[in-house]
Amino acid sequence: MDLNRKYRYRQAASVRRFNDLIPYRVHEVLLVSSPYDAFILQEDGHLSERMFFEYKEISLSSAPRFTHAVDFKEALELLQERRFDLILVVTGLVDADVNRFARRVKAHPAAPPVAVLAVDRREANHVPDIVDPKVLDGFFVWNGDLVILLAVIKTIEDRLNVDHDVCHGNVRVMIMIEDSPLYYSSFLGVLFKELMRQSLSLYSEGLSDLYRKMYMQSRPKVLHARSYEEGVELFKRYEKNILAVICDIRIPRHGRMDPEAGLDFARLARRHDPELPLLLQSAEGQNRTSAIALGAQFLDKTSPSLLSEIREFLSYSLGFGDFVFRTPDGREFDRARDLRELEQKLATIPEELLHYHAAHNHVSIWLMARSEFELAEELRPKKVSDFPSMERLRYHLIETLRENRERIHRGVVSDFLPDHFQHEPFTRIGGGYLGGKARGIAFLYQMLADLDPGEFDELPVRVPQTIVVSTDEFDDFLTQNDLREFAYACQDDTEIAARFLHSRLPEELIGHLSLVVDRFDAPLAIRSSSLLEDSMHQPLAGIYSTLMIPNQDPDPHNRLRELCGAIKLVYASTFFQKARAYLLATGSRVEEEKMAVIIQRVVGQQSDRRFYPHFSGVAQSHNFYPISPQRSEDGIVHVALGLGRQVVDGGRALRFSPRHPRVMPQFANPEALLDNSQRGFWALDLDQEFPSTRADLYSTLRHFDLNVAEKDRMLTALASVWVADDQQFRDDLMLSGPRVITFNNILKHRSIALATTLSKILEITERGLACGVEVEFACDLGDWGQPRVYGRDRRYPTLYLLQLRPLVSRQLMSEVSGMQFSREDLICASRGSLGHGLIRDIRDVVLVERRDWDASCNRHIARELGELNARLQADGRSYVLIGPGRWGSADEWLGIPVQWAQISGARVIIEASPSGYDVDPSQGTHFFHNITAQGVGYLMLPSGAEKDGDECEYFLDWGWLEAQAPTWRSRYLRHLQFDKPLPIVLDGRSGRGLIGKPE
Amino acid sequence: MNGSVTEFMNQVKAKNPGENEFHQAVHEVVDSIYPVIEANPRYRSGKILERIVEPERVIIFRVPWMDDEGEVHVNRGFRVEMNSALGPFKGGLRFHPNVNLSILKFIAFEQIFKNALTTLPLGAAQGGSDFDPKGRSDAEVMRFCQSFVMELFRHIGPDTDVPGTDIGVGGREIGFLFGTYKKLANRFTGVLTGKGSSWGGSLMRPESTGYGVVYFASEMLSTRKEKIAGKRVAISGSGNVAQFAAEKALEMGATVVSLSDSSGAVLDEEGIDRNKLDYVKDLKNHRRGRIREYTQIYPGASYLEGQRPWSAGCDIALPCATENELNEEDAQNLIDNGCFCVAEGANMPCEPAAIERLRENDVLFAPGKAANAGGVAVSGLEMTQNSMRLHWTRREVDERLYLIMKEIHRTCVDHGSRGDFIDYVDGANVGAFIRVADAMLDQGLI
Repeated sequence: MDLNRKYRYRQAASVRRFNDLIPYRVHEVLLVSSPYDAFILQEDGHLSERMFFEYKEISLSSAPRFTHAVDFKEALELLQERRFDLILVVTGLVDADVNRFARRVKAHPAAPPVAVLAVDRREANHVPDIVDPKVLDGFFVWNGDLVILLAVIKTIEDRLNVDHDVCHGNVRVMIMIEDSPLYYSSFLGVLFKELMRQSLSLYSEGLSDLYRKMYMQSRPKVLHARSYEEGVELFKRYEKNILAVICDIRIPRHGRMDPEAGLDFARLARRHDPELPLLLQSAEGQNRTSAIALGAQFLDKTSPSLLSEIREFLSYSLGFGDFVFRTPDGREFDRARDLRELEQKLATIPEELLHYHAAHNHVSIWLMARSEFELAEELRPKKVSDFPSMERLRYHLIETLRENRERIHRGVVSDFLPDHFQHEPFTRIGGGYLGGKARGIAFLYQMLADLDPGEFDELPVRVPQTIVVSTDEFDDFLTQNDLREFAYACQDDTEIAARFLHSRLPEELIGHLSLVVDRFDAPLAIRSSSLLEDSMHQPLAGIYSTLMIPNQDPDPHNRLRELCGAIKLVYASTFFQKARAYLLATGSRVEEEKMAVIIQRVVGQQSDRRFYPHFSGVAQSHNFYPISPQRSEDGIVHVALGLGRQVVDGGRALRFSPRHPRVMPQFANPEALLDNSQRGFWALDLDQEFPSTRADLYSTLRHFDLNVAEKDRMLTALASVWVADDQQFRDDLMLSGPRVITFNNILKHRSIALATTLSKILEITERGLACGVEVEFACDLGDWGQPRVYGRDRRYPTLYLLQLRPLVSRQLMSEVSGMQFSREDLICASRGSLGHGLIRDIRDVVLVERRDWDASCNRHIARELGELNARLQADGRSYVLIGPGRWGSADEWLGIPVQWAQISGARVIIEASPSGYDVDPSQGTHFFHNITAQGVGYLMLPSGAEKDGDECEYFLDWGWLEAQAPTWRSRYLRHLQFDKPLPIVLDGRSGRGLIGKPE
Repeated sequence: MNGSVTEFMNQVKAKNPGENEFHQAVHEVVDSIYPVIEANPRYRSGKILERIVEPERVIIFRVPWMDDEGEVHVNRGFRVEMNSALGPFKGGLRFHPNVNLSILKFIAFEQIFKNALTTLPLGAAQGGSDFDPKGRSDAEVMRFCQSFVMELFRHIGPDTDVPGTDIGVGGREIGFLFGTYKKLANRFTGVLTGKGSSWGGSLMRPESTGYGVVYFASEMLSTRKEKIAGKRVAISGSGNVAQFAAEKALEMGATVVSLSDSSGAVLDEEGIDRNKLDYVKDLKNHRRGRIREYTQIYPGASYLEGQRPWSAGCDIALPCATENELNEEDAQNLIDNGCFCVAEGANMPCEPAAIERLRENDVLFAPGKAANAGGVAVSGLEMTQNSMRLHWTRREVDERLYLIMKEIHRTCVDHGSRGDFIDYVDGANVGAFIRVADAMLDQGLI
């Protein structure tokens, strides 16, 4: 199956040449991106609809056509074959490859512009260093809003057309000076959107072609400059046509950030035209006075209501091009904003109006204007007289619109239709966005829909029935209850939760939800799905609330109240301190965030008053702690009995490689498995009162002992028995002895094809996202292993996929691989490291002195280390631990025999032995659980590794360490404390680990 | 005299170059029994020391096997048949990457005296391979075991050499090894110990060490005309050995006042009774929890974070947790609190200085090699049952275990009595040595 091709953009139905006055116009866009990144833009099939705002402005025929290439190679091939007007590289990772690609494109004399849209907003920080402006014509950052595409296309068009249009049409020019890609990306989107609205309002008044062209010529160009000098150059050049200036106060001048260059620019502009509208922006509020003194409007970039202030500035009281239902005498009856609304409202308008619009072909004309050519042409030839009755006409119109909508949405998301809702696997309520998590689920759903039906024959794979309440409902909720200002300002989570719970969801939504509780007979999970999740390209796991509700009350009103309460709490969590802090740290504003809500059937079975799946887990496509025979690229799975909290919280879970499910190298002997296996599990407590004001997942969950699961007959497939007499595990629960969750019946005896199925899923999703993935799943074994129940069909095991997300942020990936150190700046380097990530908050090093050490003191050192560790822990200090041999070895001659508690503050552990002490590296097996669960870094060095050796891949700068003044030392140990943190880089993909000297 | 030990050790080193672990083991034994050699010229003239350090036979062999990916691996197999003066060679198999000839000779040499001390007809051996079962599938372990036995089978037999379990070799491995042996030899015999209890294994293996320690301690008390019933017993650890030691102590009427784990100790002045012990078993074996949870259920007990239970007031102390868990200060604490008997359930739990302090204060002290020999004894009983084609009940095995511990104790007393004081350390070393040495003399130069 060619998965990639399945996710290509649908191409606009028909593209006509347009008769332009503008020399350069984007018709053909070559989109270069992984299928998942493309999916982000395409979202739920609304791309073409949203893009029309721009394109109806000029003619009826200029909607851009997107051609999708999955990588640079394919893009270059396509460029050989066809002409493109713009190449847009959409990527999670901006690196030198992008430059290389652009250079190859630009080698051709008639090459189109190349722009980059970074999907990960963190990319913005280091991009100016990476992007080569000589070959790249624009760099933008995805902010979760498709309007960015307008910004990209228009910015580039305007720049290429401005000379021509100024010369021929005397168009006006707006100059915007801003250096932050993150900021101008969202700002330009807003700016263009407002300009479009203006155009559209004029157009929808029914202007003549002539006037429209005139207007089009008069539509101001927006020219974007990144520095003072660039701004001045543009200003001088288009002096006579400047309409307005929007300028950041802190911008680069003479190659350096100048905190006042923007003010100087404003002065320059002011001298030129005392009336020129100026908008000065700054993150520093104290600039307000200077700005106002210059007669400029001032925008505080940190203001939570920034976007609306911009809108206000640009607002010319414009209206959208709605479909306006009118009575034959011309009075407005109603409006439809989009196709969906049109379809809905057609069902109810009076016959009189229907007749009027049909007779005048209004629907068809309106559709043409929206680039819905196929649809328009399908409707146009039909005359009113073709239909036996007006009702048939109405039906025909609605059906045609619905079919079109379904064609667009097939495989992805269908709208929630109250009359039809029953078993649709994935439906949405309301307009707006699905949010990141829901988009991941939609992607999974589409992926499964696209696979051959026989693909997962052995173990059926599904997505649980899902309903998404899109972001418009969130907006409506906030607006209708007047919650925005309160929520932006309030700092108390409990107060926010209480106020939200006392507010009312939009009526229509409540109506839909009452159907949901009516049709769903199982417990429900209410998950957040935030707009920013995907634009950050990293999991916001645990930032927003996820709740589970029993949905058991016999009175549907109570169930509805429960569901509404859960949704309101998820909404409230958008404004909780944790979420705010997180957004702040990632450079986003809470105002930009919107929340969609996922309502999903909880996977599992009911036993007594508990509800839980047989097992849940997380599968990752990359194993950062591989132990032979596992390989990193085979991925890793953590599974546990019961609900996924056990795994997600880092509790005891079974870890296996889906390629080697029968080998658990982390368990050196049966005792290790006994000591580290799961003891209890989480289940939904069906008697728990809800909603409470505790807006967390866990208020309805309870932890139970394993024997409860055995009583519930849920253990059969998962547990073995430790038979002490035989010193063996036996996979037979008839025996007496400790129950141990081994998954032997599944992994060793392959009663269900879990490992191969997960392997396949990881492979497919990894290809889809073009990066490492993490898939959450739960499994209901149905009646597996249970006696036959007469009068009921036997239920078979089914694997449910709950979530899909990139494994680690691509930003981290790129930072890790982009991190450059010179050998002089490094304390330690190793090609044998475990773990992944950047650690930037460690200021302490504890090392075992190499001079006085010999293996006979190991036991003593362990004890001393435990004491030092306790002292450091009490001060809240974590440290890098360096010492000989195998840490935590049971054999004191092979390494320092510490217990985990004695080194619990170590965030990075280094095994560095003096030469001659050749002990096989432990590969971290001794504390394996702790190391993996806590993400401890582990670096292994060959014995005798030194800074001065020839070895570049493995060394440790003992000399430097020993030259530092110790904070404390004993005969065997030395504690170093630094003012600045040690930069630590662990690249889990290459196994490379680096520790730098304090920054 | 010391000069002679040095001289002898020089010979051993010259003959076995590079085998450091082995040198160390020989040195320790020779050092402790040299007075016996001196006092018994027959051992010197019979060159018993020179003979006993030389294995009767060493077998080294190739073990090729194929992993799940189809790749070929070659490991090295060993069997050091050290001494068969008292019975068929008997000793464990170890699968671990560190295995080499020196380590195996070291273990096999110590095994001579351990086995001799049980008073059972057991010779001494040790074997294994540098194969690492960690990270290997069941199928790979099975193929390795099959290849290993393909060679080993011609050297072992129920009356020749009976390997058992050790590091890396447990119930699973013994099953694979036994199956292959049976197929090759076409005989179902007791050629390996540690078998599954339904196909030749003995019952009571988990209990043997813990029960044995208590039997041994009760024998020690009897030398002072005391009984274990009514005594207060402090036990450290909460694993197998500690749990069963506590169980047997309760059964014999004692009061168990403590248990511990690596994070701390629980002291229960009211005594850990049968119900409380059942709770601990469930806590440690099923729920794998920490011992501190005990005080949540039984608030009368106190919990000492990060400590051993040696501050408890007791008559008898049974360190059953780990190495070096009882130091000089702890010994003094025990003495001050009235403890008069210490028996080691773990291997070397008492530091040398602690042992010295106990001896000085006339405390009965039994080293692990004597007090925890119950485990070895039950392996011997497995062989006995196999030869008899019988499967004893728990009770039958327990009764035999009691008799063996009693016999070991008698050996220690016979050879360790110094007037009123019994030196169990010396008694065990000397008693075991004399048993082997005399048998060797009797059997002539072979």
